[in-house]
Amino acid sequence: MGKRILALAGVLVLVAVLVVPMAVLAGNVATQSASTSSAATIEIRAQNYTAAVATITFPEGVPGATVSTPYNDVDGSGSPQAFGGGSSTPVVTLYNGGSITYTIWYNITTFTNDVVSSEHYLINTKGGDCANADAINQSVAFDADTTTGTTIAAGGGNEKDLYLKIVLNAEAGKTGTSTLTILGES
Amino acid sequence: MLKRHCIKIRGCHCEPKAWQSHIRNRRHIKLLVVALLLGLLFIPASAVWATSVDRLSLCNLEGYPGEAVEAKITLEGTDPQERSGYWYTHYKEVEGDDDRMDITSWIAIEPEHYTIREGETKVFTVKVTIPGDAEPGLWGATSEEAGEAGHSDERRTYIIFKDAITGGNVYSGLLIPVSVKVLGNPSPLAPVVNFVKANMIVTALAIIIVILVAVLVRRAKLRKIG
Repeated sequence: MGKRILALAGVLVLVAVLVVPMAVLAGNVATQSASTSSAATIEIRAQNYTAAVATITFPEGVPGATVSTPYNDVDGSGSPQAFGGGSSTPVVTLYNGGSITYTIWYNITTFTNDVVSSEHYLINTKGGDCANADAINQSVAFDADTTTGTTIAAGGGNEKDLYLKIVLNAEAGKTGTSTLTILGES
Repeated sequence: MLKRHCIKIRGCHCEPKAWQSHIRNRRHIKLLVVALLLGLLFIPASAVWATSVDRLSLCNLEGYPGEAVEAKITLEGTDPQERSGYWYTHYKEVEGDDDRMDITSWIAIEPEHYTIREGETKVFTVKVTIPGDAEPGLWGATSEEAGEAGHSDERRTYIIFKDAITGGNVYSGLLIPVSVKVLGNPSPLAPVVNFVKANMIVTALAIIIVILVAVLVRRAKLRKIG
């Protein structure tokens, strides 16, 4: 009987020796949860809703004036932002190349040299009318990521038109720069 | 036109080479038409000129106080022009928030700055260092559903990437919410329990061997006494 137990123990030891190398020491593995779908940013495009835009420029104005005819580098100074029934032209357009709807956020930095005292924006549906500069009435909070509350659905036909205007400071002979950021939140 | 030409050649028995050549041409035309139709399937409806990301949220990351949790996030360039950008953190302040909502100081993204070209992918490491004195529970968001689309109201802490055509002043990017589930202090027996769970067969065999050896030892002792 003792020999049998010894033999059984021997076999079990052998099996254990063969199995042990496969054993894995498990540590405290943190389980992480995250969505994995690929998503593209909102594109800032030219007035034709196709070409990507790199810069927006406001033309020179007299101190204290409102400047509402900015233009982008693709359409050029010959095709600035324009107003009026049927001929409203945004400074740039927004396109959601992703697969889900985004809420549009913006961040506009303060103009250098204190050139601009305030800025306003308007986000319209594609081809929507912007009667005049007064219609651009959403006040910009400089240097802050701010939600517009407006959503943009994915794909063609859902583009948005962006209108901008600035009010210049009273000091003459200065030039300033700023950056415009358009962010999307799912 | 093609049909008519075909009949003409079919009627001509004295020029087999011309007939074979004609058949070959028809096959080529058919292949060309099929290739063109297949090609249409791969033409995108609209060119994509923005940077893509593989994750829209980094919510419910889990870790113990004092631990660092790491997650990878990948950007892909789709703009024909080179884009330059960077990552940063953002806290969306809401009135009435407690100190669990702003965890921007816990987060570091490496590398912070980047340039990306069309077809290029870049991997970034988001390192969330949980302070040693952090109480268990959810941090950075008001609910575990914050990572789901449309749950913006429940989010507080974000990482953001944004980029522009190099030299441009017009940026675009995405907000990616981050939240952490801080776990209670682990039991000192947790590694043992985890080992047993992960190695059930080995553990069972070891127990059987120990019992058998104990039986043998006992029998040997009994024999000695006897």
